[in-house]
Amino acid sequence: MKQFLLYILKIIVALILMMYTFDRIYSTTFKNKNPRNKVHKILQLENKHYDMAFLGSSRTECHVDCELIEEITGKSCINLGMSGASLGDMLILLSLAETNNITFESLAIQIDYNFYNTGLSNTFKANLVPFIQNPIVKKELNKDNDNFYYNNIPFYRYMKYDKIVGFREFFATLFNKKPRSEIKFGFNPKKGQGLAIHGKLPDSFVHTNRELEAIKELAERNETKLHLFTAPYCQNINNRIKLLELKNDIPTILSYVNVFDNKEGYFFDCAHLNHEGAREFTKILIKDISKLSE
Amino acid sequence: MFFNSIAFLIFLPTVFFLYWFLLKKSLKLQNILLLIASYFFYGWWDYRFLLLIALSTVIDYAIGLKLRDETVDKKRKYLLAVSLVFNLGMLGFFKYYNFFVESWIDSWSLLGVEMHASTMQIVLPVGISFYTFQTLSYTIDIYRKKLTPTTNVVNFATFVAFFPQLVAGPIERATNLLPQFSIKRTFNLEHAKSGIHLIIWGLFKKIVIADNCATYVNTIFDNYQELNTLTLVIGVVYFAFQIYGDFSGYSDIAIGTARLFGFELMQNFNYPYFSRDVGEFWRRWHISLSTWFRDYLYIPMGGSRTIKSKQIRNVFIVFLVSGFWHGANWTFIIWGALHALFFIPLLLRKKNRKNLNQVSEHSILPSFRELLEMLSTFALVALAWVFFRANNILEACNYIKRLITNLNFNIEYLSIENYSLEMLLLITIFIGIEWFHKQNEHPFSGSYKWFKIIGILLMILTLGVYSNHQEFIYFQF
Repeated sequence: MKQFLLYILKIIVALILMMYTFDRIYSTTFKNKNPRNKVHKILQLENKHYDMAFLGSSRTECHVDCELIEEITGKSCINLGMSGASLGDMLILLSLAETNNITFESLAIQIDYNFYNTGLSNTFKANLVPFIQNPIVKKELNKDNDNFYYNNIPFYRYMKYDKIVGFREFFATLFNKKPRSEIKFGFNPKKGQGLAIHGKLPDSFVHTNRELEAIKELAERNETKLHLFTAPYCQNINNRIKLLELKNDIPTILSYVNVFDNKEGYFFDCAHLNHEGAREFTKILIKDISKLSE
Repeated sequence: MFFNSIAFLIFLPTVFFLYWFLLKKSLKLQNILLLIASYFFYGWWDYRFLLLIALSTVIDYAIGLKLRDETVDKKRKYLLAVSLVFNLGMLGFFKYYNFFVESWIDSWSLLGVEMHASTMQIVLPVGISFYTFQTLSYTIDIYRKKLTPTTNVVNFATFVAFFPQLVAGPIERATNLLPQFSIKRTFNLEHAKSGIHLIIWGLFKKIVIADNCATYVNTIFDNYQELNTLTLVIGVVYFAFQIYGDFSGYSDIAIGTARLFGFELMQNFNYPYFSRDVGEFWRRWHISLSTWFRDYLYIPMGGSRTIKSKQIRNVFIVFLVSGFWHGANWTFIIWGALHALFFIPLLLRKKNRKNLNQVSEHSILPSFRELLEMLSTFALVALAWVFFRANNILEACNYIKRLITNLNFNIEYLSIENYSLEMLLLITIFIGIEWFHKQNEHPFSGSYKWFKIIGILLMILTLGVYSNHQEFIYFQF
């Protein structure tokens, strides 16, 4: 029995050593190699100024063409929209940018269904875990139920989020593989046409969102001009009226919910514009924002 | 409780410690501990269904003793019938009630008669097909006078509920497992080590092979209408490896866990995808179930020692029942029927027992003929898997139709983020490991044992799927 326990102990020690080693290798790689997503980009970037930045979900990422904005306005621009991003994600991303001295003259944030939710999205949280030593990241991850494991079991964080920061992503980062989505300007348009409805909008909306309030404070503190906008939806989506009513709670919001009501060819699906629609939308949006910024 | 859960990681060492350190000197107490542990293990999922196991235990225990004492044939038959009706009745109710009601309504609607009968929301108790067959083998063997019933109710109850194999097999025979509860067990170092090796290998098959394949399989089967021939072929191959990794992985963990407590369970898989014909496949796939059907259904019907027409009938019955055992869906029945169709030509040509040894037993690589035989057997088995995986027959037929008619072999990106061909590399590595260790039950032997253990642990850590926890497929049966 003693020999058996020794044998088990050897396996456990080997396992712990491997976990510890891999944890170090993964973390070092994600911190030092070229970023493959927008969260890692902001976490690695320092002392940078952008004239314009756009934050939101895929409805920003696929809709705002920063390269076009640079052409039109001559101003530097970055699209920080991320699929499934919540207002909580945006707040943390802006806090990280603030810490790294990344400044924005003007910031536009997409508000729609995300106004209803709080907290961090799973993908965003997964992208934070390699940077657990960062005080802002640590504070956020400590709110998670698994924080004990993140801090005390090496490699646990990479196992938990294996689909996002697991072996494939580690391997791709290590060998500088081209990211799935473009991160220089951050615009990733959708190709094709359609009005398919995936998911639905919530039935009711709250009237305030504490994360949005915190974003407003952060913008004010950094003397950043803040604009809020709602991107277009096709007419068939349920509860679209609720988005139009957002104007009651946020009077300054730029609402483009129905701007393409008769332009079905601009849609990829009901919630996303295609490349052509995105370019048209970018032109409208930048025109309005420029007017407000003057 | 799942074998790949944190709860089991705490449960197993605790029971192991109590079993070998605290209760080492008392066989009786060790068995009681195993019984309590087994009920706890099952109750972790749903404690209400413990009553079913307990009821099945009490009834078969009592019938076993009655069968021993009864000498009149008619009464013995009656006692056996009671056990069959009770066990199969429970199984029928929990597993097949809704299927029969729905099929009844559907068949009348085909004749233009609309019927309205309500189905019930019946929860299928995990592992009911496995422990029901296990207890049935006990009473049938006593009836056949092949087994003396036990008079120790604790031993019998532990035999029925033994946690390593309770929910997904191997389906143990009373003649093999039950006597092991009566023999004083001493700790054997090599036996226990091999148990640990099987657990590690089983986890690799489940977490690395099966769960990674599952991601692609789900995407491909959910979107098959939009995908091309190459992707659909890949989908079927991945499912073949998903179900193999999942089920044989579970069996390895079960056998390994039992070994830690000094028990030897029967082998359930023997490298089935290296089979050279479908007959060989069925001697290597889910061995505990196929031998169960052979001994308790096929041979009693006459098996192959009867006229040709009856042989064909017997094969069909066994494969159809085997399909139906897997689940209350016509897809499983078609799956069974296809295997019967694949098997019958071998039977008629008396080639079904041609390949009894391991392929390439004395050579490193297979001959060209062996390779072709293995590939064609795999292709047939994989074709049948489409019915096993599809939600209904129409979906399976459409999947196969598109696979045959699309004929586009471009590499496609799937809607999931990962690129599916990476998985082929992993499967190739897996096949390579299995091929070079096919004479052993796991790859951890020889002079590079530690190197292999570390390598597999490394793959479990880095390539395993943890975020998208997949239940063992055979739990649903």
